[in-house]
Amino acid sequence: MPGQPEKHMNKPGKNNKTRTVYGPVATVFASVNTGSWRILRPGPDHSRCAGCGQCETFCPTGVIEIIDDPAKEGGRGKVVEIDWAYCKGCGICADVCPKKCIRMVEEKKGNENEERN
Amino acid sequence: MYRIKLHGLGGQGVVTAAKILSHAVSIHENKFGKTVPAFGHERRGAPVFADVMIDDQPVLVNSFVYEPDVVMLFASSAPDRGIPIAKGIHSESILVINTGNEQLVQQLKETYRFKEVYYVDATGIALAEIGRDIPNGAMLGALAGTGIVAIDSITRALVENFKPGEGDRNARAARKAYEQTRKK
Amino acid sequence: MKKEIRRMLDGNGAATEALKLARVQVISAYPITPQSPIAEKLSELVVSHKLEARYIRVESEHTALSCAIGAQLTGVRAATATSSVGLALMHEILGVASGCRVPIVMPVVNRALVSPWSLWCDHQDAMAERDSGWLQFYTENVQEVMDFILIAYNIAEHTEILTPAMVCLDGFFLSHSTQPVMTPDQETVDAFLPPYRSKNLFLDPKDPMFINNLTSPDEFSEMRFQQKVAFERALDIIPEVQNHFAGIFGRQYGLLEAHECEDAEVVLVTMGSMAGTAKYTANMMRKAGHKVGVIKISVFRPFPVAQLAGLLKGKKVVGVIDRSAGLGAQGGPLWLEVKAALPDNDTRVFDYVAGLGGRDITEKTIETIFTGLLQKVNKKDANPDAPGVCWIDTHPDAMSVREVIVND
Repeated sequence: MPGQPEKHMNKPGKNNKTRTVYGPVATVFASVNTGSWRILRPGPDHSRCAGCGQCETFCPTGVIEIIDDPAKEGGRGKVVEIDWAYCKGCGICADVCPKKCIRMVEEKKGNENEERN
Repeated sequence: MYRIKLHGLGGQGVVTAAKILSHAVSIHENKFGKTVPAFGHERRGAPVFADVMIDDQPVLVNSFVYEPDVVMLFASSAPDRGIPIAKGIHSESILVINTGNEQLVQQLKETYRFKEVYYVDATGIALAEIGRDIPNGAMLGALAGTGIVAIDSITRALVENFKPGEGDRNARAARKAYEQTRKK
Repeated sequence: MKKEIRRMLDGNGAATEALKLARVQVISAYPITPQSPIAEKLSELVVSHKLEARYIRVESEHTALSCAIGAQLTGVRAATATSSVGLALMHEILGVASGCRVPIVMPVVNRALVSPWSLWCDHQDAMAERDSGWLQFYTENVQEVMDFILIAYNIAEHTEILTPAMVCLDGFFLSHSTQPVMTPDQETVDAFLPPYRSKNLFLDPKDPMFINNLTSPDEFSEMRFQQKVAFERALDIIPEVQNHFAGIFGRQYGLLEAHECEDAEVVLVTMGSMAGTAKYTANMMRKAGHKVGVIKISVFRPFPVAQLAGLLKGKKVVGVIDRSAGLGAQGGPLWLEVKAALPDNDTRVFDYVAGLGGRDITEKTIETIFTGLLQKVNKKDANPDAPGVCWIDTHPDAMSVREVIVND
């Protein structure tokens, strides 16, 4: 996902040098991998998804993107893509989905769900 | 140190005159001027005053003028409006007033016991020279008539503080007032 | 070498000129009387390209300072200015600037706080923020407004300080008073004040930082301690920068200024524009044979304790003028500092509250205070003075100034 800084945050400088700064600041995010917090995960039913984007708009962590699916509706279809590294499993996407095609499923069973990424 | 109190009405350019006076003595006479304007609810036509202190050394005081050496009246109606024009004056205090009315001048001098009264019809001059009832340039010319500040300093400061053209017209008004100022 | 011209500026004009000379690149200011001319003049400078900067129009002082902080963290000098309730509305964000060590320099045009509503000068607005972690400078005249702002940048941005600074000027008495001011040219200021460089925290997409994150009890005290150390270092660094300034511009300033104190029987401690009037009055009283002196506090945060104690050593009677009420305290904020600076000797320190809500602190007021202090010198009574604060210029009918008609 764009805008997620984890990749940069932990990158050491060329010479592995450090410097002292004053005041509240974080350059390493210990709890950045919020995907590990999930108990439930959203399981979208892509066949019923209209690609309206409500879930994308309301997602508090900004991990949902509506993408084109060339395999759906002759190439004009849309599906939701979720960044599992950061999805906290809060369920807001399931609540706001106007077609009720996102179902929250148990994380440990998540792999059984239809999954595209 | 000279302490000068300028009384007038909103719209007559009293505060601007006070600033230009400080400019004239500080920039063109190697003296030190300080303008302390009084601000409140600005209203056109309401009584306004501003204070100026002039000295040969930097002016330390950051306070209003309570015992003026010079009182300037931009509106001759000020005493009728209850403005205490003579408050705090002493035996050497002088008055500079915007009027051509000699009777009024005599009356004010006697009532308030100013040592001298300098007077000129600054409004008339302003109407003739700048076409507007803003007598501040002319009143500064009248002040130059007292010898406290040189007329050349006043005209230069006017030119430097107004837009081109406007400054020249005000400078002309000042010089005319300077030449026409009379003393009682 | 030194290129300065004498110009006529009021306090707001001098503040604007100083911000321009400091080459601020982002401005986010919200107008409030008597600061408005600063916000207006800066916008004119931007529109006319006399100042190459972005002007962010904001809807409040809270946002004005928030924008300034964000902008400055990208590596530019950001400017804002305020007064009175505007400063109060900044209260939360003042702590963000100081805690995140963003060295913004902000003119504060001192005006009373509500209520009663007042447009006019006293120091309560800045006093209410005296523990906000900002350096506080108080100016006596318009020249100091210009000079202190330039000096404040060099102090605030010092690697050991990294602390924002308020440069306080008395509303109307300085903000709207036109005075001759030696105004330096850009080249000379550039030599004194190098281009801004982020020395601590910064916002850069290529090297991300998460600034102002939640900080646990494990580290909070430590970060406050860092600020405390900066304030202690400032007591050494401020005079260094002031001396550097004097070397270039020829005007010497200090943490405080002593006027005729050496042989003075009584000394009056002042702050802001009243200091000039007090010095003038002291000169007049000396001509009449009275040994009186004046101290002007130029830097209130950090408070120059040792320097003040040194100057007041051996003085039996000291007066303090507080231009804020200090309600419920043992005295006004300045008196508390002076009193605490003199713990172990027998100096008696008297507090005078004066000049609230625009009341003029006149030569008469100062003279009355000096006369009272001189009388105390020779009083040998066990309890020569009633304790408490003297409201020297408050009218005797204070408790009955307003009567209303009773509608039974």
